[in-house]
Amino acid sequence: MPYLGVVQTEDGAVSDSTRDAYRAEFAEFAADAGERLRRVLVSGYGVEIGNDVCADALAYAWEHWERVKGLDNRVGYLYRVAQSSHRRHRRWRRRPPFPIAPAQNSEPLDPELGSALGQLPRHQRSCVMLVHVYDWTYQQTADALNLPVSTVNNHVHRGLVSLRKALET
Amino acid sequence: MPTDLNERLANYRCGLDDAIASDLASRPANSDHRQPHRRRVFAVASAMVIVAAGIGALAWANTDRLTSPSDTGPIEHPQITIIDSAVPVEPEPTTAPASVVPAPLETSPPGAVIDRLAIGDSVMLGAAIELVDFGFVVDAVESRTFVDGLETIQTVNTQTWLGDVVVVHLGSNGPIDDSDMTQMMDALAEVPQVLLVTIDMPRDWTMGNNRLIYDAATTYPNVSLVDWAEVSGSCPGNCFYEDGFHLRPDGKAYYADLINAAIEDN
Repeated sequence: MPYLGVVQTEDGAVSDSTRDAYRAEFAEFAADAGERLRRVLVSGYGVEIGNDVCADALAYAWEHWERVKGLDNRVGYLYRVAQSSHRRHRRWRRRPPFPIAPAQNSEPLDPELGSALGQLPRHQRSCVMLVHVYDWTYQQTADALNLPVSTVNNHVHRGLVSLRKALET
Repeated sequence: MPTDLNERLANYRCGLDDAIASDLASRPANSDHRQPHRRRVFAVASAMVIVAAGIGALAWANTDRLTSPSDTGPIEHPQITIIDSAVPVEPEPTTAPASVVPAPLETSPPGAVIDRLAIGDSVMLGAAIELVDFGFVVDAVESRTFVDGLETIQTVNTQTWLGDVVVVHLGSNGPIDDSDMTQMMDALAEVPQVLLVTIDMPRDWTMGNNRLIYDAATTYPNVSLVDWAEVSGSCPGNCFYEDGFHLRPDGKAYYADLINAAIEDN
């Protein structure tokens, strides 16, 4: 557990209250920004790899919390961390594995749509999914992906055109 | 099922969130979140590398710069060897980092087939890892001419190693001759899906080479086109080194996404 920046006692120990406060602060971050980061990564890399690299990025945030917590755009920063991590998670798959069958006791899925989303270029897919599946604004999407809003706009437009074409055939 | 795309996308959320939660729930608590077979794949794959060197050279070697695609378990793809006796050539320095280390091996199992082969020069070389991520075996060499690539294809074809997909991105390092293009198409005639990629480089021969590539894409029924000269300018982010055509990380991802999407679309 990292204690950088955390006040320690004279003998170097960390009090339970300090440790608990540190954990609570990070848990609050993980529940909010961490879940937004997960959506960004799942939209780009699919469910399994997205969860993998999200775990890596959150582990990085935990280890470097003193630095990360001071950032204005934590999700955008950790997205870059996750992109680096993605190189270690290569699956040798031809497309991101979006589910084609619903999980047990879960909502029904649209397998055709999942397949079509999986065939979009990664940035187009991320933009389309964040804007139209998760109802993010273009600005929120741009911040998370470290892209200009105009680029997000282009990706969404092109992605929707491709999706319509794929779903019509 | 709603027919409106926006409505379908909005409805996709619940099922996707369930799938995410299900995947998380399936992971053992307090352990490496990666599943065992994935670690094995990573360990095996990271110990392997595709190496290309000289005319007609395809090889695997033990570095983690380029790797072979595989879904599970030990890599089943054949080791691809130096086909002729050409001495491996050190890549010439460029502004883009080299991604291939020549290291020939000696043997090759018979009957090997490369399902997805991508052959190119230093532009493709920059995106080699991203292409491997999409399941390609990549043979990309700096300063390679179209004729060099043709000889490689002909040699690989002789060995009946060509599979369903071949991507060719050549022509940046000199003019393409009509007869060479014809020979390339002849060599690839039995490949169901050939993807030609136009070049985007400030050279005298760019326009002529791209015209030949356009013509081939319209002449041969198994050939389709990625017009890199047209779409490279739309690459989002910081895509190119100072020379304007070798790929930075943003460009690598964009390039590989385009090629993979073109293959999948067909």
